[in-house]
Amino acid sequence: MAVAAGNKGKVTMRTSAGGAARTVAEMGAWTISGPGLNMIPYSAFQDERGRQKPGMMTAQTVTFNGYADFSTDVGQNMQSLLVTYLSSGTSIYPSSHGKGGSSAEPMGLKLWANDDSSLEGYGWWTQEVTTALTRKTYVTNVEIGQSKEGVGTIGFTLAVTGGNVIWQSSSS
Amino acid sequence: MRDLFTGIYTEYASVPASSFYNALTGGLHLEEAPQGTAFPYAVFSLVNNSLDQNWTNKLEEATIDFNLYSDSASGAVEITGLYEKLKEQFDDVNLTVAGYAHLKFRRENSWLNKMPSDIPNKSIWAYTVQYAVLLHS
Repeated sequence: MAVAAGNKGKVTMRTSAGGAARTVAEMGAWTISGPGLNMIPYSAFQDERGRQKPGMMTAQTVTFNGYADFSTDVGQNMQSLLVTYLSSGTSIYPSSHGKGGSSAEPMGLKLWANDDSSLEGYGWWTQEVTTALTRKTYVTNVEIGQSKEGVGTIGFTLAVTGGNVIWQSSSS
Repeated sequence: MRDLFTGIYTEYASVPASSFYNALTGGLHLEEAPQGTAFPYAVFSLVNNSLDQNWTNKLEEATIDFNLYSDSASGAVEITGLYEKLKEQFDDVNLTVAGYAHLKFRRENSWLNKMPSDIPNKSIWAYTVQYAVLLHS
């Protein structure tokens, strides 16, 4: 058994193929929801209990959130870039394989459980590498907040398409 | 928190001297003033400090108390004047704190007390003013 202490987590991605993995600053939590399974009810009169059968799988949703980063380093502020990806509908591929090696696309989103390889639970969740163009992630929502009590907060929601985000711990 | 204390004192003693600095002839002290310190004087102290850590940075929340003391025989004029001068210098001040970006120095509570002094027929005025502090590493 190996569980990860949450203080060593992070969210990283590359802005281009071959580029360095960059950390989305100020994050403090992430969640992967799903996949789910839609159940189709087909109950009829005189059934003793409701009947249902499995329908279509539903895709995963990824959320992560933390404090808003107001730094203005162009191309370095990953929060700002994610908002840009949302505005432009830019997808995040698992790797450059998914886009024929294109260097212009963001890729390699990783949700780290623990980034210290000397500790238990070392590893991350990411979409499995494939050549399928349909396997990618879209930023679908951003939520920014500010209150007089504290500092600005930000949260992102991503839709996972074409394949699930899976656990990895030894290869990128 | 040492750097926060340094930042507060540096602000207090900044040049040109503030009206708060000039009015406090007994000075500003951390936690306790030396025995026999002349009135009026002030003491600031750390009430609490909590750390909120995300994956990349630290957020320090702290509560700082300023205690202002006066033994003026002419009522509350001196102590309330000190309070106004403290507000003037420290309300929402932009402190310089080594190793941190300074986010907030906000006055939240204050209360005034009149206490008997060790000296017969004399009283001490004490004004406690509480600030909420937010620092980000």
